[in-house]
Amino acid sequence: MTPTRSSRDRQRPFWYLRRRRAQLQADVDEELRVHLEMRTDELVRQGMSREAAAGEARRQFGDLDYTRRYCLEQGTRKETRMSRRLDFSELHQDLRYSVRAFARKPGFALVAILTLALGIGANTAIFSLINGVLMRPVATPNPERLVVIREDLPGLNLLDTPLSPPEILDLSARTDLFTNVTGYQPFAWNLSGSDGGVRVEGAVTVGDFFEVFAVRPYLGTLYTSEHSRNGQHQVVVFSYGAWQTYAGGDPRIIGQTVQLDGVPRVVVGVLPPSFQYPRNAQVYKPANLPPQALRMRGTLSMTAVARLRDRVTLTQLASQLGTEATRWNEQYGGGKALFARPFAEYHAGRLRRVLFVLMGAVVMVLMIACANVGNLQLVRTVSRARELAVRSALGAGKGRILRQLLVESGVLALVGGGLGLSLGALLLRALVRWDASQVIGVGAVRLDGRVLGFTALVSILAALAFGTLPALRAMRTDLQRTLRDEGRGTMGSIGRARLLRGSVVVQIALALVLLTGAGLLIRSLDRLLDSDIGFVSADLVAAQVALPGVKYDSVSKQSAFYATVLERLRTMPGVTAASIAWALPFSTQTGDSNPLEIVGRAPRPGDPAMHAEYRVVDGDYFRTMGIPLLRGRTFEPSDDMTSAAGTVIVIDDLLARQFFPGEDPIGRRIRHGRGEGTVIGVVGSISQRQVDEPRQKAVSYYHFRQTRSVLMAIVVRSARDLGAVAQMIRASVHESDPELPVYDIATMEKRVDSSLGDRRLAVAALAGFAGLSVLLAVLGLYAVLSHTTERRKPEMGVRMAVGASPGQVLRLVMRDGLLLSSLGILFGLAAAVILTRLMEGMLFGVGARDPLTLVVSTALIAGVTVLGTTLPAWRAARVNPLTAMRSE
Amino acid sequence: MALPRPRLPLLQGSLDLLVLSSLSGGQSHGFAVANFIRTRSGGTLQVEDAALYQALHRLEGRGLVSAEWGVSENNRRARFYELTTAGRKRLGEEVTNWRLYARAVSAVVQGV
Repeated sequence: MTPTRSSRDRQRPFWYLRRRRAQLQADVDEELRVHLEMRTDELVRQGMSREAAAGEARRQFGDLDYTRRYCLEQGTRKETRMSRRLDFSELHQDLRYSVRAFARKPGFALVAILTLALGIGANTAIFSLINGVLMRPVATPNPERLVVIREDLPGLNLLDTPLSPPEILDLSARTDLFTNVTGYQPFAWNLSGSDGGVRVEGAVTVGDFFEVFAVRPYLGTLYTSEHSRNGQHQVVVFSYGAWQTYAGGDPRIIGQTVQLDGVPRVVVGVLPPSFQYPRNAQVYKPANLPPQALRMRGTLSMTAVARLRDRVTLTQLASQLGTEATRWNEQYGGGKALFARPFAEYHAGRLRRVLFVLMGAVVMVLMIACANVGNLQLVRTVSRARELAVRSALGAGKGRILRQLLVESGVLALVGGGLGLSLGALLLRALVRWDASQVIGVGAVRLDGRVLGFTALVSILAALAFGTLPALRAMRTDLQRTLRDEGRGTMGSIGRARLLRGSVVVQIALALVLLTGAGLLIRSLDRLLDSDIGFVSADLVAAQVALPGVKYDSVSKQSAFYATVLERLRTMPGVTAASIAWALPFSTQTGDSNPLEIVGRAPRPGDPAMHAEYRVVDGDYFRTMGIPLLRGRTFEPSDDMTSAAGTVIVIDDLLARQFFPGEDPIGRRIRHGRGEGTVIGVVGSISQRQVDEPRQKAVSYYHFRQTRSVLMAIVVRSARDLGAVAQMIRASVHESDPELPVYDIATMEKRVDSSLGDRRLAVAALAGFAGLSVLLAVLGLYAVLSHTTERRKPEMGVRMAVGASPGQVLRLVMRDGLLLSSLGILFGLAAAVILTRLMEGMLFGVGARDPLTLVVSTALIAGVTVLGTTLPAWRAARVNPLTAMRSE
Repeated sequence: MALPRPRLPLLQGSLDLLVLSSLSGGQSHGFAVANFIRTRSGGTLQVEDAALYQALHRLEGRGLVSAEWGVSENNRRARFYELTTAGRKRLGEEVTNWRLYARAVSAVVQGV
């Protein structure tokens, strides 16, 4: 008796279990059938008829059916247990084998891991930004249930405005839609303490501010919506940062009184450190809403945030807001339209588009990285053909070898992913430090569980992407034949070469797309930096000062203060000009837009409503800023409260053209934000908030000696550095009033620049990713050409032996490389033309198909690919025909 | 014609011992094990074939015996069972236990 143990038990492919149950059943049946036959035979030998014997055998056996099921169950149990053990030990084996294989060729593993780490790291960093900025803009549970509600007033040509406090309270009555509603207005106060005053930023709120964000007190209690209405609005809540900075983290702050703009307020609570909203807010205070304030539905000052009830969808909300607006319009007039936007989307603003473009870019970088590592894997499997064939001959099934190759890819991807995570964290830290001024607000972005999960997923996908194709390719080669042929020649199949070359073409094409995108953004930024903002930002420093209304309670006291400070500044060394302004361009001060009337001209029905912004300045403002005076005159010190001519107004060129087309505005009277006055001059218009926003809002200027001016910016033109000018401004202010904080000191250039923060982020990141992708693509091209020329060495030897010159061989390889590069450029240009259209909204002054950008990127790619081709070609040309042929 | 010898039902738990010891001489298929038990006990021990196969598969499931297909003496394909190392060890323990048990029972019974 010779039991033949099938080799099946030793080499189980991984789909083994599924087929196994049917096999078990067949085995059991067969075994029992054989038993019955043997018993029957025995009985026949003892003299029974075959028929009777068969019956007797069945009878003697007992319960056949139950036994069948019992045996099958036992068998299944054993199989499961064993295959689990087996799979695990095989995986372990594969892992050890992979690590050993990498250790033998550390160069390959190193290059592959670094390439992957760069690709995965870039993805991790950008996803962290998206996660932080778009998905979790504020530390609150379920941020996706938060919406910001805004309104349009088409009749007044006012779009996308904040809401008024009574409107927000009306919305909070809609408990069918919202669990809580709040409104807030960013605000700033002079906080006075023992060591002079400081300027603190914060928010004035109505409604359930802390409930909407589901924030709990770190210390004390938080005020509620009631505090706005029952005269208990003299309370404040400190942020954790404010508590640390201004109270030294002393818990006894609760119940203490602080002075905000000279008014006493009681600190009732401190927020946890995780809650930082609105950005930079340090102090929170309930709005004071006396009954008359509840009738003022025109003070559109508050950003409304609401938490949606479960099951209320954005579509339902939109229709309900329509109903609500209709009700308001019927009751109060105004022709308003309400709309809601997801909170995260509203707050990401312009950054949203930037982040999506960057995400697209890093996906491309990862694709290039995967293509590159895939090529490396492919080349490596070729040189390992012999090793694989030996393993196969030793009994490893195809499935087992395929799995081994995939495990190797997995190991690469995991190590690359781990390294990528660190790289991503570094990149993120650099970004956050770069954005220290919080222009784009990435300070709160960090790596969390979601980012880790994302990185893991990307790594696995990458492993599948670059591992599967080479592994399957290796499977298609005849391993047995490889063994016979000693691994020479057979694996240099046309199909594999096509795969290698195709992936090089794809890499070059993707790199070109990224390069074009980066080029377009660079050109846009360049145009923006060159574009005319209407004033000269160089050598200008601005700082803000706020006068407490309690102490400076009249226009004359206020103007006297500023006049004295300006007098002082103008005599200081190095100061060319000094002036003051409320609503400084490119600052946190926001100018209000107000209805404007021209005295003596009745609005014709159907005319669009006239709206403009106003400013309060001194007469030297235009000269200081470098804004040209186009007609008439600017303010004189004599234009004050006692002037016989009354209030005088300077308008900008935009206002003149919009509302006085073909007329001379000088001498005309207009009624605007600070009352009625006579137009005395026309000045040039300037950009107010963004360089790339078209100038649409007209502006009128009032004189500070004729109107309230508590909150002003001091603007100084001086060639001296920021520190020196800041010192001069502080000294001049403190000589008049040592308690006044001077804050937000920065050069105008810095302010203008900051408004371009999101663009700089986009340019820096995209340019970096483009550079990386070009580098990877060229390395990829170089690697493939080196590999193929290496494999073709014998052929080159023959060519040279029969008379080809080294130059001809050089040209042969160069032609090969340049063909790949040209194909890549061709596909890349086609893809770039399609994909850059998605960036159109981010471009300024250049079209998505800007020929210069396309030409320069193409030339750049062509140039570096020539470099990547030359070295392998030169090497091929130096082949010694004799040695090359001998190696055959 | 001699009276048939009395046929005794199997004591609980002793079937595994019987199967293991039938395999102590080497590989064997189920039919051979059944005949071996029958012959060795002079026909006294009645083991139903169904119970025997269940025992074989149970022991295989516990890793005490292993099985593989082979060819029987009559050129039939049959499933051959063999003691594993664990099975050999278990057989030793079971035999010792059985001897202790049998001796104890005999000692008690002899007093009757």
